[in-house]
Amino acid sequence: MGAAAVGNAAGSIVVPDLVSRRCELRPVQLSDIELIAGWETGGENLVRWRLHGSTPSPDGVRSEIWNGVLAQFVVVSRRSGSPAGLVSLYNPSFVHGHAYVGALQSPDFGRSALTLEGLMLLVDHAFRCWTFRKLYAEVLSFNLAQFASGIGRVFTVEGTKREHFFYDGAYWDEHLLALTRGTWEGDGLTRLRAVLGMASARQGIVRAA
Amino acid sequence: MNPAVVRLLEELELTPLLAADAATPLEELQIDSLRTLELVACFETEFGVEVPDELLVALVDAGDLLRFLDVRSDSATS
Repeated sequence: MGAAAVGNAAGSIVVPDLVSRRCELRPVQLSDIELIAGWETGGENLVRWRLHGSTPSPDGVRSEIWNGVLAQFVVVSRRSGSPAGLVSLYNPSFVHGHAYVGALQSPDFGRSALTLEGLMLLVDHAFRCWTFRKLYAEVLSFNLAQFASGIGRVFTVEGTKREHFFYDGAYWDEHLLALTRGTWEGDGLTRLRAVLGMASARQGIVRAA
Repeated sequence: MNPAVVRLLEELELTPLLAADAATPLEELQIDSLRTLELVACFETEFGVEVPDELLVALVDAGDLLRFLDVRSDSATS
């Protein structure tokens, strides 16, 4: 049994504060539904995100938004106080030690990468709170360019569904990306976690058994 | 260009930015969301500045980013 299961001698724990350099996470509330529905159907998100062109009713959004979700947060800019996106941890398998992550950025926050920073906070939170070995993300090929520089450094492409998804006259691949606990906590990402102010860097890491 | 900015770009392996035509879209230089995130965090740490979200949203091409880094680094060190 490892340190994560034992805790320290005093029996105290370090609670991650879900705050990084530029953003913080707060749990999704019912009052956020209208905001999230607007993000899902606004600008490029209408086709880039999970709805793929459809526009569900507000009740539909409300009933779907927590399907399979283990943890879900609104990403809030610490500089402006504005909500910038949504990050989700879903479809966990505690038997096999994995789960999926996803992110939705407000069209207003474009190149700020604020939601990506929020997604990293979620990853940090997920590895701290549960014994996941790795986290997956399903990404359509026309979305991969947004963070392709992370391939091999932060995550790996573990598989591809060829010509899986139709849009605009063509069939597009869908990739399965994987980020392992070892990579997240390893030396290669130490600087990134530190400059982003991840709790695992500021408060230390407790490795899973 | 501020030498400290050049050093930072070298550390992050983003030196192609320095040689690029100003109108080159950042995507063509492989400066994606993840690279932007790393660059901003390291830049803020190095120069002790906070970059407002709205400034980042407006960045489109190499010229935008280089001007942004130059001006913000100068304002931090002056």
